[in-house]
Amino acid sequence: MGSTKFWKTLFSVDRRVLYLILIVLVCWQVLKPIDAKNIVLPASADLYNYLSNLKKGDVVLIESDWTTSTQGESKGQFKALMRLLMRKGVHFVITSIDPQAPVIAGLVVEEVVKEEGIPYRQGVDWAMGGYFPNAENHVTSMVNNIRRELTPKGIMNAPFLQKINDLSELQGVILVTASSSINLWYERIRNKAPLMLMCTAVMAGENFPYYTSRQLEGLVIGAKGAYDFETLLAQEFPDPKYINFQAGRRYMSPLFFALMLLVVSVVLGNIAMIVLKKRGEA
Amino acid sequence: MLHLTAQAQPDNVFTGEWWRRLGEKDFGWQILSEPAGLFIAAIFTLGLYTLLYRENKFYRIVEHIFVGLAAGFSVVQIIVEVLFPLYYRPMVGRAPTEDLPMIPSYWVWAALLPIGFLAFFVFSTKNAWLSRVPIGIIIGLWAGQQFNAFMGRYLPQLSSMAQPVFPNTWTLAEPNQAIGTLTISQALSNIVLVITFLVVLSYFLYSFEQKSKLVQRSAMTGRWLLMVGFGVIFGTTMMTRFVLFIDRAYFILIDWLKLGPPN
Repeated sequence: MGSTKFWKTLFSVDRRVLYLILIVLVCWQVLKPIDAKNIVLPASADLYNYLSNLKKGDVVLIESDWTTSTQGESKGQFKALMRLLMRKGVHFVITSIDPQAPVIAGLVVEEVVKEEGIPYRQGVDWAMGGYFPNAENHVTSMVNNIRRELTPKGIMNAPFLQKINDLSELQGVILVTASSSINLWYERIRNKAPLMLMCTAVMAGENFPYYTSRQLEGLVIGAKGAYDFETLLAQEFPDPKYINFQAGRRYMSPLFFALMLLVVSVVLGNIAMIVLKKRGEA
Repeated sequence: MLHLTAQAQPDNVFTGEWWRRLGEKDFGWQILSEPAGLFIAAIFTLGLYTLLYRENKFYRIVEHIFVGLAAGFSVVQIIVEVLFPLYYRPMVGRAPTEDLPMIPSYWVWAALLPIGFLAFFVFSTKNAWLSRVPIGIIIGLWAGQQFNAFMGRYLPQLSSMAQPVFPNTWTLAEPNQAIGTLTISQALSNIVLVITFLVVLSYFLYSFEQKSKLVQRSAMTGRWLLMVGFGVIFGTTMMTRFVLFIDRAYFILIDWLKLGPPN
């Protein structure tokens, strides 16, 4: 079954060759993506449906803990979330436990406002709570006395926040995060408001149990979750004037090819190892 | 596009006009024009990826610039977003103006500063014990929250393990089923969930020697299921890493070189 040299070569392919194949595949698919029908995950649909059923004027809290290091996944999720909230007229407050995250979130909100053409004004329709240090105490304070926690940031005079005295008066808490900050909310929220999570794919395994136990109202995972959200946006807002699809759909095709390369490499590497072991060469 | 935009602030840490303008919504530092910003960002992105070939000085320079930018930016954010609005302003208060209400001063907050500075005694061999005071306060605050935290996080997990395993309708699945209906597929799913929970738990029974064949086989099954779980985590980790690269490839090819449509 082939010469030993062939299997040895396959077993010890230089990593740079794999990188080159990956770069070629990804660049090809970024430029010429293949479109395929998306099957929306139930966890993504639950999150979308909950937010889609909110009324105009409802208020949600968004804890945005992502920065440029995970924007491939998080930015697509965040933009899709912003589109839905703005189209529904839902007010939102953004807070963060990462010093860089509030500025990035603010820039993305401005970007979506321009793209959507909806006059969503800071301080009137949405508010930026900004950065809070000491995540444990911040989350505890938000649950115990949201007004006291947010007042020093000067945002409680926003019209939609003036009536809010407790977290239970908000219609939901949504975390867009690439860190374990969600654990603090599992621990401290005490069922005061429905909790939702938009996380990176690497966090899916550890957070899915909280969705099955209903501690999470819905869960959006990685670029696939962003694509799910975009698909649901397109179903609810089919009018061509809306921009529904962006990074989520665009990144699916390159991601598929990259993952196929990974699977093929692992399978071939293992076959080569087994063959060489049988021949006493490994 | 490399730029910094100030966030809306109700008040500011410095009194000069420049710093006051920083607090205005539409004011920002547009350091570079957009094409120049894109060019530098693209070159730096490529610089970071040169590591894939081998370690080199260009990669090191770019890496240090990124780290320096992030650290410097975080320092500014901590001053503007934390030290001023959450500590300094409540401590010194503010006289009322036409636009802003009065804030009463609480000078007792000043006592926190020397307590915080005690942490720097960690560098003193003679008085290092003083650094334990602020650390003790922080640990005490954290530890006091842990009982509630554990209850809030894990009790719902435990209660969700109590799942019905006998179907009460003999259909495989129902699209719009009534509350309380348990189909065959749901019952099977629950059985898998409960069995997985029990066999994985049995793997962690370290308090006594596992002599029983039943416990041994259960623990072995639990070990295999844990391996499946780790495989899932590895797969999803790769997904995240690949998407990071895809995002950068999109930035280089579409945003910078304009080789394709944006959506």
